[in-house]
Amino acid sequence: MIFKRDIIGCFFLLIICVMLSFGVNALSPNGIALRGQWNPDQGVVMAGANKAHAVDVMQINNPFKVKRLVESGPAVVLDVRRPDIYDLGHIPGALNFPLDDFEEDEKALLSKIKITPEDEIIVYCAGVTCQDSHTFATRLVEMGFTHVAVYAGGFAEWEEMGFDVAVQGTDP
Amino acid sequence: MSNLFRSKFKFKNRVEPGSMGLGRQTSLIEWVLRLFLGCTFIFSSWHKIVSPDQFATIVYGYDVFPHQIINVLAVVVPFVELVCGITLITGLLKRSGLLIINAMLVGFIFLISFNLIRGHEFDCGCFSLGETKGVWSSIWLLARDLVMLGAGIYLFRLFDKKDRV
Repeated sequence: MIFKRDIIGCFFLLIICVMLSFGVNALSPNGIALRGQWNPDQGVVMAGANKAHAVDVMQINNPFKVKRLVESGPAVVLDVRRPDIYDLGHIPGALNFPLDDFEEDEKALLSKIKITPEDEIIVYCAGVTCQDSHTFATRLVEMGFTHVAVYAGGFAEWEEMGFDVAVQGTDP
Repeated sequence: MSNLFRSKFKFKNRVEPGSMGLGRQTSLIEWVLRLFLGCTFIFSSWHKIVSPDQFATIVYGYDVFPHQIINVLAVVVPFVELVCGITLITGLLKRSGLLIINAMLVGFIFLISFNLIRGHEFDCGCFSLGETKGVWSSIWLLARDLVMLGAGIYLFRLFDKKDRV
């Protein structure tokens, strides 16, 4: 049998939970914003960091712009998906650097993919529901890389647009 | 004679030698169920509290909730699990904590069933982030939640029985 005191207790517990959760979220370095970006038409869907810890990362939503940057040359394109998936197909010229292998030691990163903080870098992963590109780009920005952008549509959109796809061993 | 004193003696007078073992057994079952449900909910809340962004993505993956409340759910729900788990183990507001746990389990069962019926694959995010998806995984989840709900309802009845004595 449910008594009135049980219901009052439930409200009391829920109020404690709400206060505790918002307090911890505001103070935690892993805290998230109270409203995320969950519309795939507007870019990568993600919770987003809370204001205190947010790192701004540029996002490119236009696949033609990415294509132009890839073809014109100066941009370094990083594919942060797993190597086996990368081998099946990727943006031509993209370097594979899985998020799992991310080494926050700058020297190790620089020597492995030969990039400098001044380079223009485009990071992508599977698609708009994949956040690895954002996580990777955020870490690069925190390391001092200034020209980092995320290709929001990722490989799924690139393939869908019918652009050239490189497979293992066919990179230029 | 005060009511409290009378009730104490009433309890003692009602205990019959044959029912003593049964009472102890019931207490043991109650403790086991409280530990089981309490620990399960505390354990399952932990990774969600540590990585709310990943849990929010999982909530989004259920494809049921309005986009505006996904982050709020991802922030609050793990703490509801944690606090209610603690109430069951400590005994502080345990009836209310158990009521919320049972309500959450009913909610999870509805969610999983709904996605199972419409054939929508999702990541449960129950105990770890990035669990395998698929029909059989959903059925297993459903069975697990039903067992926990059964345990929760039985435990609430035990609380009731104890309160009546």
